[in-house]
Amino acid sequence: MFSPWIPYDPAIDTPLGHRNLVLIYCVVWVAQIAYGTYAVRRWIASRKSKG
Amino acid sequence: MKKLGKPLLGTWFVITLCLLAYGLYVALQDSPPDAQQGNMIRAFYYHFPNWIGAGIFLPLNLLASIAYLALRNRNSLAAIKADALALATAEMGVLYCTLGMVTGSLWGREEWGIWWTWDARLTTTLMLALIYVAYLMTRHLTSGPSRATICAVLAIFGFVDMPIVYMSTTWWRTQHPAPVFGGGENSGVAASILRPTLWNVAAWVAWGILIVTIRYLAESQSQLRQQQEAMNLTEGLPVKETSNV
Repeated sequence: MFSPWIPYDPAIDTPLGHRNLVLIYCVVWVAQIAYGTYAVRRWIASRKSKG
Repeated sequence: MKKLGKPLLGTWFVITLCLLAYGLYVALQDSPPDAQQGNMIRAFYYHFPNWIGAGIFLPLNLLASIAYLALRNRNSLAAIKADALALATAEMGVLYCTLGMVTGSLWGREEWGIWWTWDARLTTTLMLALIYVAYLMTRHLTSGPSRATICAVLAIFGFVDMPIVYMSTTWWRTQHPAPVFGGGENSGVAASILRPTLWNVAAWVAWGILIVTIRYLAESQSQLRQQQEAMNLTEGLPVKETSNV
C-alpha cells in the first residue's frame, strides 16, 4: 500500500531492500501512533475520573 | 499556567505534525539516493532519530528517578510529579529503543546480510532495552507504597548501561559502525544526508516531547487522585483506642 511512496530503482536497489525500507517506515509510524493513542486514552480516562 | 497548558499543547501538536510531514517528505522525496547504499540510505532517516529519542528520554528518566528519591520524604506532590515523569520517559525511551533495534535489524539485513549479530553494540543495546522493560513490568504488575522507590533504584542501575552502549563501538570491535556524530575524526555524514537526518530528528523528538507530556499529565493526575482517595479513606477511619489491660 505504501510502497509506491518509497523510491525504488531496480538499478541500485534490491527487492528485499525495498521491502525492508517500506517495513521500516510502516513499523515506526504504526508503533508511534499506537503508543500516542494509548497515551491520549489514558489522559482522557484520568480527566474523566477527576471530574 | 493551567489556562496556558491546553493552547500550548495544541500549538505543539500542530508544530509536531508539520515537522513529521516535512521530515517524511524530505526523507522520501527531497533527498538523493546514496552512491553505495542506493535508496536504502533512507532507512537511516528513520533509524537514527530513534536513538536520539532514547538518548534524550532515558537520561530524563534517570533525572526524574533521582528527583523522586530525593523528594519522596520531603515533598509528596513534587515526588508524585517526578515519579510520573519517570514513568512517561521510560515508556517513551523503551519505544524508541525497540524501534531503533527493529529498524536497525531491517536495515542490517540488506546492508550486512544478517538480521542480528551478538556484537558488543547490539548486545548491550538489547540489555538496555530489557532492563527498561523490567522497569516497566515492575511499574505495571506490582503495587504498594515501595513500588516507586524500587523502580527509581532500578532506573538508576539500568542507566549504567547507557554509556556502555554509546562507547561499545570504541571499546570493542563491532559490526556496527562508530557513532555518526562525535565518533572521532571520520565521523559525520554528507551534507545531502545531514539535512533529512536533522529534520527527522527534530520531528521525532518533538513527537516524543508531546507524547511524554500527555503521558505525564495522565499519570500525575491518576496518582494525585489515588493519593486523595487514600487520604479520604484514612480520614474516615475511626481512631483505634488501645487498652492498658
